[in-house]
Amino acid sequence: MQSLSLNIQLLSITGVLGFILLLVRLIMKGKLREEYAIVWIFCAAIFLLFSVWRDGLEQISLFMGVYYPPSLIFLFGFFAIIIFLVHLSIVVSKLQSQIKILTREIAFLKYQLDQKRNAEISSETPTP
Amino acid sequence: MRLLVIIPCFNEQHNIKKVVEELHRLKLPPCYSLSVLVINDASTDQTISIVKTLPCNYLDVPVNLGIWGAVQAGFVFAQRYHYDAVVRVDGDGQHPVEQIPILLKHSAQHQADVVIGSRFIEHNGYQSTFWRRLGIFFLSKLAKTLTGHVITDTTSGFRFFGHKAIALVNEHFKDEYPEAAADVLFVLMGLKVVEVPVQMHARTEGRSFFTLWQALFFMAKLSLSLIFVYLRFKNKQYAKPVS
Repeated sequence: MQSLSLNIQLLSITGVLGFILLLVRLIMKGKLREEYAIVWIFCAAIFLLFSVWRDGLEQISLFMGVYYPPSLIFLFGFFAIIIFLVHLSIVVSKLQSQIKILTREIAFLKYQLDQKRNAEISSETPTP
Repeated sequence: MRLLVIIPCFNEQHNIKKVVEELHRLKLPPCYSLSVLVINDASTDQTISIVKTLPCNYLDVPVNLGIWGAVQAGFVFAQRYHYDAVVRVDGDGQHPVEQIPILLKHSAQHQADVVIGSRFIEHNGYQSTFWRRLGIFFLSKLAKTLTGHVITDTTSGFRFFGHKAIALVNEHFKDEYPEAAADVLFVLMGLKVVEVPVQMHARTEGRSFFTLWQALFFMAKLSLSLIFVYLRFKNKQYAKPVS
């Protein structure tokens, strides 16, 4: 078990900060809603924590009986991504349902408009 | 002055009639002409059928927008149909309709663009639950740190908005009106925001809003949107004067 090398540490920190910057830009441009960024910000914070606290990862791995500390990061990242994907699937399902409802409502509105138009036309046409 | 009172509501079949009737009994100064808009946010109860019998305009939203989306709908309506001012009253009966003239009076007196009816200046009337007050306090401090402007009741929906505020909301918020963050926008764009003490009623019917997780998530969302509104508009404050 080795402690995190300085190079990797710097790379991680730069990477995470760059990622956070990307998120911030996306939110400010209105392309990403804040609530979806919360999860990523949380993950980035954890990543940053262990990039800085080099011994922390080692200690936790030791405590959990994990031989190769970085595999904890992989595990955590893997679960975070899976959970987030499931959450997104739920969001998409809800959106799909809402779009279908809206589409149906538009169809009903068109029906009502057509009825009104037909009623107007038939009241304008002189009866033979 | 054409005044639009917007009433966003979700499942308020027991309260909505009372709110609308109270609004029509209001004695306003003759310079104001009052219109009422109920925004039925896809209620699952009898709200909309009751609203259709009431003397008011209404928007029957087909899919639930949430309170922020419903309020935004009210602002869009106000702009599209050329209203000069908006007052928001929630459909649950918590907001004191009879104190609307107080908001109007302060808006005229102080030339204010936004008047917030605050529960916490004089601590009269219903003070909300402890956790909500804690959250509101936190947001208040956050807003103050960023803008230097003090607002004690950041999530109070009971407010008056002048035409400048209506224009800003329509321009910068496309789908939702973000509660506390909008105040940051108003302050950064140079609008005059004042707070006046009002007494709110307790919820007479219906269930309380949040589980702990929902509340935490909501606080995180509010805080983030507050911070990001600040970041977006911090440098634009003198770029686009609101005429």
